[in-house]
Amino acid sequence: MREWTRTRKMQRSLVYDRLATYGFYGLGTLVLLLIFWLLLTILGKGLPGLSLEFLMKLPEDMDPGGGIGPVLFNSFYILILSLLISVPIGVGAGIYMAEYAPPNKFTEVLRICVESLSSVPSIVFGMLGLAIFAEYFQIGLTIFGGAVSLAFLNLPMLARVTEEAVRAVQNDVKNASYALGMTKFQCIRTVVIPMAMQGIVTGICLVAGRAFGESAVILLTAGLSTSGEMWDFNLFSPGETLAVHLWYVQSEAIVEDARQIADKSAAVLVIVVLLMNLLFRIPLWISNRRLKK
Amino acid sequence: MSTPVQQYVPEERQVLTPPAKRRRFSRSARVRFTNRMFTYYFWFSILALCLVLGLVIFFIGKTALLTFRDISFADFFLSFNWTPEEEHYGAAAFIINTLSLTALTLALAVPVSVGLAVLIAEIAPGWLKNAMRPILDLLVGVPSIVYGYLGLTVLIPFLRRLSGENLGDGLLAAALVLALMVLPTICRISDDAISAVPKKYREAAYAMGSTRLQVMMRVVIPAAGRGIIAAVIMGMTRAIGETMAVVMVIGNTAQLAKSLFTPASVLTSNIVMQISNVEFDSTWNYALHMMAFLLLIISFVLILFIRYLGRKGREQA
Amino acid sequence: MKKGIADIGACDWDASMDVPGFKAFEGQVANKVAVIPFATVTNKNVKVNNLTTEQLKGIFSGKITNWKEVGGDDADIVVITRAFGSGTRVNYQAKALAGGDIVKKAKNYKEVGSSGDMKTAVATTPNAIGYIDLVYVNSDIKALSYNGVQPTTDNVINGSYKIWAYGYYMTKGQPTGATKAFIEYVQSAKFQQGSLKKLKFIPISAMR
Repeated sequence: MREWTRTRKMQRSLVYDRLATYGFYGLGTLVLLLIFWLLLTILGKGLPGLSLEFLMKLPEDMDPGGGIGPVLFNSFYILILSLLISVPIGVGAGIYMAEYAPPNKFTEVLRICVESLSSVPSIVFGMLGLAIFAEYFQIGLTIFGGAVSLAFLNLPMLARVTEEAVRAVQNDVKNASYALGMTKFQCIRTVVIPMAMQGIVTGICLVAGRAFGESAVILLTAGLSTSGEMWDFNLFSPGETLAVHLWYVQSEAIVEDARQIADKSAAVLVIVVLLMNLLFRIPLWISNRRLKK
Repeated sequence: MSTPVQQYVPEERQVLTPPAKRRRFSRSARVRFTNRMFTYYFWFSILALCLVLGLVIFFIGKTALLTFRDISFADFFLSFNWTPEEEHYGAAAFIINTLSLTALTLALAVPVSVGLAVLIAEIAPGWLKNAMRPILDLLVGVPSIVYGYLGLTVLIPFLRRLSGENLGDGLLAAALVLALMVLPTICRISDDAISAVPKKYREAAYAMGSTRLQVMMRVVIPAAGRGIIAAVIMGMTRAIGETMAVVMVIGNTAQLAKSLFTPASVLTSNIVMQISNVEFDSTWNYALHMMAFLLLIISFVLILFIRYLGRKGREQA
Repeated sequence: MKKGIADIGACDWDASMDVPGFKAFEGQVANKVAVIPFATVTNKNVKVNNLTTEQLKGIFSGKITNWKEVGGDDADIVVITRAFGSGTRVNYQAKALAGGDIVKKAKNYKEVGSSGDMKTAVATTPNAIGYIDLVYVNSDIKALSYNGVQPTTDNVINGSYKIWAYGYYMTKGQPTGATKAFIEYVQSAKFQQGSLKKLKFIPISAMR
């Protein structure tokens, strides 16, 4: 055989390839640097002052030295409640769209409507929650109302991401499972969902992060105050979350150390979101390793 | 979509089953029961989603349409004069500003995010992949107010020095902040879409002697096209609807943005600034609701447009 | 409050009466709870220390656009104002600008949504001017004298500094029950002389 010589076209492609690799790495480095700088600024301003006491104390309206105890608790509580509502419905709706829905115009319109829904400003969901819970049901500003409105906000994204993840599962795997005699649901449970799990977990992470940092919705539906006690599980008490507290301290507060409280709260928020993401990713990572072995 | 194979269930009499086993709890019956239950569950979820959709449209639409009791269509959509104190309700400036802001944000965010997604999914080694993904997810958790505040205290002075204007607020500042906010969304969803492209496509392309770049550009990205389009749409809708961060860096003046640095206002920031201060039954309130409704419609149209572009691209591919 | 969601509404003006830009809200009763002083504030790089009513009117209506016209450096004035519906804005417009207009569309003009945002905006924008409750003023921004009078609580009490207003708690009809008890607590001497003063507000009793 003749020796393999590189044609000029091949050479050019290789050069492009090399350039592109450098380009991508450069882009990635730039973005990473930006993100690190952002995180360092937030954490740098807030971490030094953090103490366990700050995390546990009640917020003070008029004197300096308030903490974020009940507010932090409310953040978690509302987050978990809203995830409990939005994940089953969102993932279920996504699977429906990908597996059960007939491929006609109506489904297409439905899909676009769901996507448009994610562009509704968060305030409008707050106003919706206010209209439903505070006016129609007359229960005022509550944790329950906040969690439900937050769930509404996150539903569209969850549904779409799940749908795309499920859609990406290859048809031949599904056909193989049907050939073995599984029902549709067995196929979904044992084959499709594990394969789409990575995408679904991405969706949940994105949604949880957004829910934790969301302030406009909670502001209007769960209020700007807490019940004053630390571990209050009552669904109907007002529920100020950390993000709302941050907003409040930044815009209206007149205590002496408002700026520090705001910085510290921002740092706490970022750390919690990091931990949450790790929490969601670890089971996935473990199961991936087990599968590879 | 695959067609489910007809279920072949052997008659209970023909197969040797222990006589004690009651027919109702036989395995196949259980499986069929679970199947049916879960089908109902999936139906229920989509109906719940439709309910939420309906609620939102009904709720905003009801108040929004009351606007046109007092103002004409032309007045609302074409007039650039927004002075509610004097009964002028022209929203044209906001509409155009919203569209320009979205376009600018996408122009900044999409190349960077998709490029980053390609980096993570294709080029980066394993440890880098596992490190970058949680970091990007972190960006999503940063509350919008913090972005706004950082934009106000860091970005705007920087832009001010860069441009020499007196106020760094305006479209550019808002677009930069928004681009940073939607970056993780577009990037992570595209990343998943690209990772989900089956190996055999890539291997086939490599077998034919393509370089990695060619494999990426000609095979993988078009194959992941659906997912990437969905990612871009998610990012765009988030950008259109973002309020808190935009309000802090855009200047909030009801005028058309003629340059990147004039303080302006978009539909969302205007709603935020004025909604808590207007009377309930006034035309102003209705006009604000109409602007929220407009957002829904605008994103509907933009989504149709992006999907159309995506379909054209794939037809050519 | 009109819809019954809240029992008390805090307002910087008496909403049961007509005020420029707002019709009276029917059926509401105003309860005085504090005296709130306001001040014109600028960024620390502005060299001007005092502005008269005429100068303020000119600046905020957009007629005066350069600091050198009022005795400062040759630099464009950046006007920062609060959104419509803000109590601070209503009072400032009435008392300091004597009812003058505030510019709505201009190049060097910006609106913010709250006092905290106003403080941040003025502190970080060179050549900026705005207005804010006196209680928010600290070392980040500079408060200007008005017609030669320094903005201090003493000057408000002795009547020489005119930019101040009463703060009210609005209730639907006369307050009853827990609402009434709360309002009475806030109006009591204990609260007024203690916490209220600590926050740099002025007790109602001090104004004669």
